Amino acid sequence: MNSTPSVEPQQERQPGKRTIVVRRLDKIGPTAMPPSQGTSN
Amino acid sequence: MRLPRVKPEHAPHQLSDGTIRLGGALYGIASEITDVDGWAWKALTLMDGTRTPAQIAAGLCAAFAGLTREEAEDVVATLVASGHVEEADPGPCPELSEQEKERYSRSRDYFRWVDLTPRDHGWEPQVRIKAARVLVLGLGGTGSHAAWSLTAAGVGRLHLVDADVVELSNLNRQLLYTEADLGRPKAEVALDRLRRINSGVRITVAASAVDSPGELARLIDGFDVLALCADRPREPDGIQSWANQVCGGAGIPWVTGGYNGPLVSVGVFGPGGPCFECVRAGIPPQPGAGYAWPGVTGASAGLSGQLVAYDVLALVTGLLPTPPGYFHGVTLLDPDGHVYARHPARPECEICS
Repeated sequence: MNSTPSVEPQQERQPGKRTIVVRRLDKIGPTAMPPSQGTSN
Repeated sequence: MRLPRVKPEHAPHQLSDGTIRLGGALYGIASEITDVDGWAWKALTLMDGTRTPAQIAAGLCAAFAGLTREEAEDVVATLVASGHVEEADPGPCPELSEQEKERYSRSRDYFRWVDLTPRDHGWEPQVRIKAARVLVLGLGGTGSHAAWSLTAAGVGRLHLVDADVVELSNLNRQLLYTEADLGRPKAEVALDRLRRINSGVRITVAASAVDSPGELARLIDGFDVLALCADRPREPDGIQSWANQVCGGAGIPWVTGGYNGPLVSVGVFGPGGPCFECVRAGIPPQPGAGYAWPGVTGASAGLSGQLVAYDVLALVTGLLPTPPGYFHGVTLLDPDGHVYARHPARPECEICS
């Protein structure tokens, strides 16, 4: 399992149209909350 | 969306290379934006619930001289559609009372966090849960936990079916029953317990067994989802096959769960995906896997029932992560071995092809 997040390949901007692209985080395996953030119970 | 606001659980952060991270670090929720020109960060800063999309776009144009109004509106629309933004002034929600809003406030927060569909107001998933009618078959290890969870979640209508009485050996895992209930019908005890947990849920019970597909078809009439937590009659050609036949034929989604020692697995089936028989046909037979040994703990039974309940809620709220037609689960002796099985519909299948 990777230890750092990866993202889907960045989409190139279309010529003549400027906008932003929101990329969902790619799957990196089961994700546990880091200790600094903890969990609720 | 009239007054977009970044959801508190999705607060944006700038990474060291300028990339914006939204939604924390959870797969399935979080996103990143390569923000070369700073437009996204500025737009997110303006999305504090006090401005309309048009006002946010105007703010972007004022901040970036080369940005056209059309481009600015596109940036705003993209962020609103991303699911990281909510309506800051959703107006009243007459479907829920003030008491219900307090009771289900943590549920609302959860659904706001994981639901990436832009909604008119954050209570929409809870309203759908309140409108849902769910049939639960079986009130044992899986079913008692599922029934508790669905009741606590505020499902509007529940009908629970189980023919058994409470036995001492049930009490290591079946959370609705106590020592004082030994010998009493599980359905009767469950009704009493669950009504005390949530009086807002309309609950009925039947202390009877489902002995044919026809009986199952009669029971499911008028319900939106089946939570199948019974294991008799056993497969093959048992209760799960009946559910596939009846629910598949009627277009009613259904969820089934159970445990095999440390292996907990739950199946989700319904329109738009392969049916139970097709998924099962794709799973290679395993030597020695045919007998259901009785060993179970409260934890494994609880996981089974809670996963069933979660998938029922995901179905009725529209939050199922993928189309139905799969098994998933966990193996308690193998933390890295998550269970997942999905196989395509067989061309000859009359249920799902």
